[in-house]
Amino acid sequence: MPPILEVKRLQKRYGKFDALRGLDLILSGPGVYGFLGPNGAGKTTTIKLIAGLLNPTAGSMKIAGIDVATDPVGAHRQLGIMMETPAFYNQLTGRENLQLFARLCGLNDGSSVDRLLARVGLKSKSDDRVASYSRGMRQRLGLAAALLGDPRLVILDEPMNGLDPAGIVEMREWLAQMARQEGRAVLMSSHQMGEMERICDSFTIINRGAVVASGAAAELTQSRTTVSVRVPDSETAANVLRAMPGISGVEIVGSDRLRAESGECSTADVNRCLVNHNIDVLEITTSTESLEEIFFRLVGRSSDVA
Amino acid sequence: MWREVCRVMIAEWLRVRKSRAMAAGLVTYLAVVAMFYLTYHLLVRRSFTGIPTGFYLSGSVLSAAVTSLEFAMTLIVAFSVAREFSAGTIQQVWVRPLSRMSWLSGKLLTSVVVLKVWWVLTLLFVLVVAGVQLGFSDLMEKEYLIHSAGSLWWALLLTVALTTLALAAEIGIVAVCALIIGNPGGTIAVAVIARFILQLASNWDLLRPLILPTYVTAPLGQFIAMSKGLPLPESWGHLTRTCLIGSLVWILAGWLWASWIVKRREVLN
Repeated sequence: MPPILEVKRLQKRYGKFDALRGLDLILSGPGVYGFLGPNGAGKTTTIKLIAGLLNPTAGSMKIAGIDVATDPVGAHRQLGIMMETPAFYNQLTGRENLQLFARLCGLNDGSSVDRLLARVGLKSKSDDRVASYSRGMRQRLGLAAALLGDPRLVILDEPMNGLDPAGIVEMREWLAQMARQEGRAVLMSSHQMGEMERICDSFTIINRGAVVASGAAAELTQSRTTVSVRVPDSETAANVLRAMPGISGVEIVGSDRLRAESGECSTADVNRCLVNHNIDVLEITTSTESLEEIFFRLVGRSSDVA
Repeated sequence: MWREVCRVMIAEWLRVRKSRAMAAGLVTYLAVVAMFYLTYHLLVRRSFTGIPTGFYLSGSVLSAAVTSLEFAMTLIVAFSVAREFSAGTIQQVWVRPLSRMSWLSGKLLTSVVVLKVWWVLTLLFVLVVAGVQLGFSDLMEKEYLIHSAGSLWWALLLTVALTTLALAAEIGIVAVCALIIGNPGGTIAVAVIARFILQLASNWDLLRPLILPTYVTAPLGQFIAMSKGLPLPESWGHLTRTCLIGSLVWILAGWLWASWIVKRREVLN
């Protein structure tokens, strides 16, 4: 089976500005994939390129093995997409908007429209004009529009924007359902790190048009495990740990406390090493880096756009 | 491809039938046509020399109405194509499984159908009121037959067909402007200014055959001359050939240009 999405060495240049510089992205199967990056990193450009709304300068994109460049119609059959602020025909109702998009997808029966409206919680408001919809309701309608045609790949650009807390919880449940019960791959970009960490199985972090980190959530967050130790003499213990293979970044944080990156070593290995050097270990704890910490470590804290 | 085009036309109809602007445009257009009719009716009664017939009144009103129809066409195409870009709905449409050319063809064919309906409504209106007022009799001058009613009906039919074809070509060209400019206001402004410049340019005999609006107005001018019993500027055969070839060349050029633009058009915002 080909990957659901395979992006290779994707480049996009606007004049002299390189928005994307050889981006690689693979979604091998169903799951929720987080797509992170600061403002201007190239997330929306990547999404628009996959959607066929922009033309790439170089590189290739395949959706379920179908090349977007050579067979855009076939590729779009596998794709559902919701942009950051989904636009609709304001003079039409929510139902009429979905019926219009369903027609464009070649869907003639109204049952899929009714089913999707019920799924996103808009059934009671489906006959109201979209002009009267709140931002959260537009997001819900956008999700329903993305799911028309039962796509294997769903791309959501900032789907949580404008949703109230209850809506965010519902969105979380929908995403889990799409990935785990319906077997779709969901690529989602968002700035809400906590939500992303809670929802996504895997992450790709981009900065200045290139991937800076990619992998399963557990791999990324556990790649940098910090061990904190309380000992009678932190200087002596620090020297012992500095000599221990696999340990790095040893830092003394007090006369009786130090911390280090344990890397491949387990807590038990660190404890055994200190005890073997006749150092009493009074307390030992480990902590993993949160997604937010990883993000800031990789892309920096600057609020300037990339 | 035609199945995709039909899908787009059905979707476009779902959008258009709820468009208040379209309904308001049709009412305004019909009011303008009625105004033209009253003006020409008064003109015929007060200062017409010769024998007024329903053919002359119909041709005159159609000739005046076609300019309004061209403006209405610009509005319809600008709001149908460019509005998708300015409102952002193009992002919802171009991610669906259909080719961009099918999308554009569906949009333009819907515009052609809408305008054709408007044009037919205009024709029916003027035929009914002009027929009631003046009747569609042979064109006679002192017992000499200048044109029979049969030949005038055929000429009117040919005029309407040639004008419709030229209007379809104009729709394609305005659509290209809409694709490039991406907002309705800019599209309308450019189309109206271009139409005005072309109208001025059509005064030069050398340029006239190259100018698309010539093929809209020339058959109507010929028909009005015929309905008044004036000498015809050129034969109907020559006019038909010129208008057919000119309109088809413009349709082909518009099609090629549009397909080139639509494939390269990016959605930046």
